[in-house]
Amino acid sequence: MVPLSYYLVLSGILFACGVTGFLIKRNIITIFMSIELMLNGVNLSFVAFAAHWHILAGQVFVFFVMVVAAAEAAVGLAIIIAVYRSRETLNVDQVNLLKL
Amino acid sequence: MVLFVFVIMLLNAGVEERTQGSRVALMFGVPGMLLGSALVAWVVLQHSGTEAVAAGPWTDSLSRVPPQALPGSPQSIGPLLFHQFLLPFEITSILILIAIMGAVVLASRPRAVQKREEH
Amino acid sequence: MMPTLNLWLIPILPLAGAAINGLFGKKASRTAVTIVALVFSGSSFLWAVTSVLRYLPSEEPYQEYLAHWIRAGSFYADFAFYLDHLSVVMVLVVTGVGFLIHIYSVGYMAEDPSYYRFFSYLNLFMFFMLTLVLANNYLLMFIGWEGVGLASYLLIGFWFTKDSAAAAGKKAFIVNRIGDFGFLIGLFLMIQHFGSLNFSPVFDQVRPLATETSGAGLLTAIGILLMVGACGKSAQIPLYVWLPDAMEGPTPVSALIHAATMVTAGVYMVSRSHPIFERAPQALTVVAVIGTLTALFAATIGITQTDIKKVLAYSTISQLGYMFMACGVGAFSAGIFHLMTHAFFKGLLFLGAGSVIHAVGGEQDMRKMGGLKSYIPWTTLTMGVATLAIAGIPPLAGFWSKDEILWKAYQTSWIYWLIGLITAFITSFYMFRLLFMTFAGEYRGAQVDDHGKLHAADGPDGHAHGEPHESPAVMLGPLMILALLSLFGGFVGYGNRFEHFLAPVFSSGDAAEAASRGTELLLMGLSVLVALGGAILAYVLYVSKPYLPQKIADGLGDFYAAVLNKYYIDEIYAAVFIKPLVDGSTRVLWQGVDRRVIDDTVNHAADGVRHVSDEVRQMQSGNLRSYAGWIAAGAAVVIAYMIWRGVAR
Repeated sequence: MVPLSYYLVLSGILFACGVTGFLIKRNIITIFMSIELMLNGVNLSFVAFAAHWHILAGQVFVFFVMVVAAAEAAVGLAIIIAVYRSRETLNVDQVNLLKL
Repeated sequence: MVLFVFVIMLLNAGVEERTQGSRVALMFGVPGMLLGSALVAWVVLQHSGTEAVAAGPWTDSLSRVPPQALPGSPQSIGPLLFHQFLLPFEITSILILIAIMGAVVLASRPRAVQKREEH
Repeated sequence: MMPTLNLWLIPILPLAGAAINGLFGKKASRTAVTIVALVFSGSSFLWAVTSVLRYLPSEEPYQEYLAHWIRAGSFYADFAFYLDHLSVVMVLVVTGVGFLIHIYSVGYMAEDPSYYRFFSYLNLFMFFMLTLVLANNYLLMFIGWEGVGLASYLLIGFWFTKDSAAAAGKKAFIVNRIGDFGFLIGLFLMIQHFGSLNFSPVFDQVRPLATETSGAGLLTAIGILLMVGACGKSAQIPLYVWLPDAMEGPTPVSALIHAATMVTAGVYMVSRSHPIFERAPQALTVVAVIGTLTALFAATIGITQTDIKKVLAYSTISQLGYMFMACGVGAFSAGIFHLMTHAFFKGLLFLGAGSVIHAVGGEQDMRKMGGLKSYIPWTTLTMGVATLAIAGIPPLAGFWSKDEILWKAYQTSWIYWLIGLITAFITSFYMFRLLFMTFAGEYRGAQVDDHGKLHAADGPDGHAHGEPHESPAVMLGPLMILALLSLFGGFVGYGNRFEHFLAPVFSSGDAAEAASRGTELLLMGLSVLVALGGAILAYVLYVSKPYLPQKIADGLGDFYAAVLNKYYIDEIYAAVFIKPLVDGSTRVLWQGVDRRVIDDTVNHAADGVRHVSDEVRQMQSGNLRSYAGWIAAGAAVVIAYMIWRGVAR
């Protein structure tokens, strides 16, 4: 049996990578991919706990997380397309018209 | 992921501009990474071992599964999905629907909107 | 017990007159205002006489309760009135002389545009003064005390468009307030130790107390503090500086307030508090010393003044000094007797001076008068009577009262008597000086015009008069009545009758008639001699050899200049007290505290908020990645907190 903590560490590393990419990257599509990475890291930890404690609720939860992730990705990418059409750039630093 | 690839191909953005690497990031980043890894390793080695199952709202008879059964077979998840988690199920389906419609609207070309206005 | 006398009518009637004249007088005719003013003050006088006659048979003090006022735990002070023989004297003097001055003012103020306002204020003053005199507790008396100070301010500054008048009104009120501070602290001590401010409970608690011969105690402290208040109100050293300036007001005001009634409030208050003073000999000494010194001091200044009203002002201060001297040696009834006669002859002097000023068209400088006896004979006559009275020539009123004081002073210490005698000489001198400069000799203010007729100089009145002319009957009438009172009013004191009249009030402090009748007659003779001496000296210097005064003044040089300038006391006060206070207030309190501390605190708080918000605004950069960074940081904090809580549990 693989110890639970290994799964959790892996989940944590995935999440950390997602956060780092989210903060550092300038390309908006890369940022979105980092968000997906974060969500999947969380999924992994859910499943790990579900398997470890023999509770199925964790696996059902993963369903919902994936559904929400998909919805969010769809909408977000649509927004990216719209923004790209008006700003002609994928560099997130140049979408700064909301400053005071 | 397929969506992402489609969007990248659609946008056809070109080569990304590159900025010079940040010295500061290197100075803080590398030791930070090493520290983080050390922390992770320490935690892993500390907390190895199994823990007991806690009592909670998710531990009713439907959720429980005999240890030797395959975890997560459709036979076991299905009833859960349609009994206990019916409300979230329905809501997320509606959410997907809204997301689809929203994505279509957001991503539609301005031309199409103008065409409709001209009629 | 006596049926109710309705004493409350006596103060309330003038108050009603003041209200009616004040509210409706502006649109009303002169006649209506006059009628209202005279009716209400006259009826107050009549009611006072009636009440006194009904009260007199009884020996006990009469108290009348009108309404609740303050009930705070065991302390109570009500609107209640108190009548005993002392109040009888005071109330008759105030209403009687007040009414006469009202009549006089009808003539004097006839051409003034603010006629109604004058009578409104005058009636208001009567109300407050009567409240002061009839009150049965110190707190109600203090209301009257403050109120007469207010009325004095209003009336001194009656012609408030004149800067000097407005400043004089302010000075009077402020100096009064300094005295009131002492008065109030005395009252606080009374409340603390006697638990009440009503006369009967306080004096009943004071009477069993021992006389404080060794060291100063509570009663000495209260006595001295009350005397401080009296100094302010009755213009004694060191708070007398407002009275000469108060001559800026109309002359009837000077007569009523600054001669006959308001300035005597201090004497009345000290006499009313005699149980306290009699048991605090050191306080009595303070009173006597202040009175004596003031009497001499003011008299010396009076010699040099050239404004007719200023001479009378310093004379008032000096005579008040006599009254306090009397109180200070324990002869309270003599002080009150002199208060009464002084009201008669000083009131007459001021009203006569007003008549003179009216005659010469507003001129107040005596050097520009002279020889007026041929133009204004009646005024000359009445002022002559008054001068004889104040100089202490028998058998006029002033002789009896002043002599009584000197006799009682001699029994305590010959020093008081000697200073009093010297002051009497000086008093006689400057009063006859005033008389001769004004009425004798040649008219110095005359200008001969084209037709060869004598003109009065263009006085401050603005309109050139014809020859100096006599005052109308409405002004002469009160002069006559006061002259009669000055002539015969002293006989009430003949043979200790006045003292016996006030015996029910002052009986506790009766000094034994130790010295012999012979000494008394001798002293009486000496007083008359010095009075005549002063008169003769004045005659020599101002009638027969008019060049002498200037030579004497030149001979005395700087000393004369000092006396002429009132010993520079006003300037000293300005430099020592006023300037540091004003400077300190400007630099420390205004610029330091108000601007730098209070204003700046508010301003800096606002600035601080602005700086903080400027910093926080940087977060709204529009830069998405910084937003992302903040979100991540916030999430990290929350997660860390949750882990910490989880671990702690």
